[in-house]
Amino acid sequence: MNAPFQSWAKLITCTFIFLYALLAGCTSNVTSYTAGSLIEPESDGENRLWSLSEKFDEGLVKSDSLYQDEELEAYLKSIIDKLFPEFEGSMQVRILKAPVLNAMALPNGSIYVNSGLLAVIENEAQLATILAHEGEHFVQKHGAKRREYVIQAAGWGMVSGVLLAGAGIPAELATLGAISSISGYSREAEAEADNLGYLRLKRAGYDVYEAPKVFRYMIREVEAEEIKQPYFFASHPKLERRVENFENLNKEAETAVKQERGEKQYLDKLSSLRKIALKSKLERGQYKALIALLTAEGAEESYGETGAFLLGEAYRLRGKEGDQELARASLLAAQEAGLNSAEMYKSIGLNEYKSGNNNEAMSAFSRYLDVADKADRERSFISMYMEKLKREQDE
Amino acid sequence: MNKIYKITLAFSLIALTACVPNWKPVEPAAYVKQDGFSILLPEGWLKLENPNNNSVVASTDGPNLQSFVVIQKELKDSFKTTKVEVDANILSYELMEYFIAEFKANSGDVVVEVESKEAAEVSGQDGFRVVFTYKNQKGLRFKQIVYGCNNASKLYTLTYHAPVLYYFDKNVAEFENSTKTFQIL
Repeated sequence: MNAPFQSWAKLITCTFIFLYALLAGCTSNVTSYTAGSLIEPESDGENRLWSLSEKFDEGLVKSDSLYQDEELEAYLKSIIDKLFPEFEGSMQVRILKAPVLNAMALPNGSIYVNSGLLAVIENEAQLATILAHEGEHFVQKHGAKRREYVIQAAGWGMVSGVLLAGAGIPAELATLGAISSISGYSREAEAEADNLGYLRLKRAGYDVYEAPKVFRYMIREVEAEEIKQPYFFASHPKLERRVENFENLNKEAETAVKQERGEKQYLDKLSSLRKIALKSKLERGQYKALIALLTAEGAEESYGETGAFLLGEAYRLRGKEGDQELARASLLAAQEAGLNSAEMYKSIGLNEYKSGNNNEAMSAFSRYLDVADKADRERSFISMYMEKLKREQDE
Repeated sequence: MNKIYKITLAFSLIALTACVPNWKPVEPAAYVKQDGFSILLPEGWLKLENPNNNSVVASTDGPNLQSFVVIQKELKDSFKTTKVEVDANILSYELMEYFIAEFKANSGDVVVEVESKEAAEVSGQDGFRVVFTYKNQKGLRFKQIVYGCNNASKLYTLTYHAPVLYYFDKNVAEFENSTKTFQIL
């Protein structure tokens, strides 16, 4: 089973990058927005990109891909407006239901941050790092500048159109999504967004020492999942280089006094979403990434009993040697911290059942049936395992 | 969902190469036998003639409107995205958890919800029944039922997929009846 969207977007973006490389010497006529600019498309090409972006926005709403939370969106908007006061109201930040650590900026000022990324960052300064970076993509019109290269590439539209028609995905929308992500622009555009974004962080009074941590979290996830850095990183600044870049900027900035990190307000606003997003990482099978995140320094305090439960689940499902013991310890820690959910008892029961601890399994399964919703169809599994255990005891 | 895209893609490629997919009416009361399993498909449906002996594809109005797909796969090849290693002794609940994870991990940017999950007997084996739903970018909702089980080192899945609007309800009962005839050989 391959993800059709991802495969096609990947193929097209690779083609795009190849064509882009051929045209790397070309210069752009697109001018960035400046304070006082009218925020609107300035050419037919930009108009087309805005129109595509709006379609993309609509598609995400129609497909229920967004977390709709007005209070949370207002919080994100307040940060982007603080970072870009001269463009107040020009950018709209929304949260995508997606566990992958990513964010993207579209040419019309729509910025999307994945819930998975919000789950791993720890404070407002780190969130501001992402928003400053994405906001700079918009202000510098990186989407329009990149489009200029694309339209010069003969055959591009035809090739992508034919290929994507087979996957049922409008070619331009797939490409727009792929190239607008956190590292989907050119190497130069990414570096520019990092550097200009850094200046905005500083001006807004955020603790700039938090900036490189965002990319460290990405490195941790990439390493835990044993994946190669995403394909587009091949022609873009490596994550390690971006950490280095931020650290060098910090050295040059002579910012001895650490400024606002905004940890409390971030966690207050995001605590519920962070838990949901962590759960969705588990449901997508990102067990190794979850274990790396939840065993990191400070994770126990940051994620509480939900973190302990999800860590237990991640160990149980990873299923390596010794994981059953680690799962048991984490699940018991969650229980001792006061978690009393049906899910937790089910997890304890399954772990003990697999370990051959039948009495403990029976006890946890019984608790599950006591606590679980009577209409929950998953009860059928647990009842079946309990019957098997009873039969074994009788024999 | 992913299979639908694959089927659509297969059709497109076939069309491009000027070939015509070979759909044949399901013969009344005739079991479709493949290497390792057999099933009685709903009468009046069309079955895609398929050189692959590990799967069966059927539909009545076309695979974009409803599809019934049976697949037999090696367990070790079934969780390539999530990179989970499972053995034949896996619990049916765990098999379902890994199946859902793999399905979601392969769904790209589409937000897939699990509507229900429950234990199910599949060809006399402990198995699962999961119902997935998702919406495409035009807001059209799809629903997919998957029955699954393993037998030794093989994973078997029986999938029904259709848009919720009209088509899902139209043929779901036939699918459910047909799953009862599935036999691992």
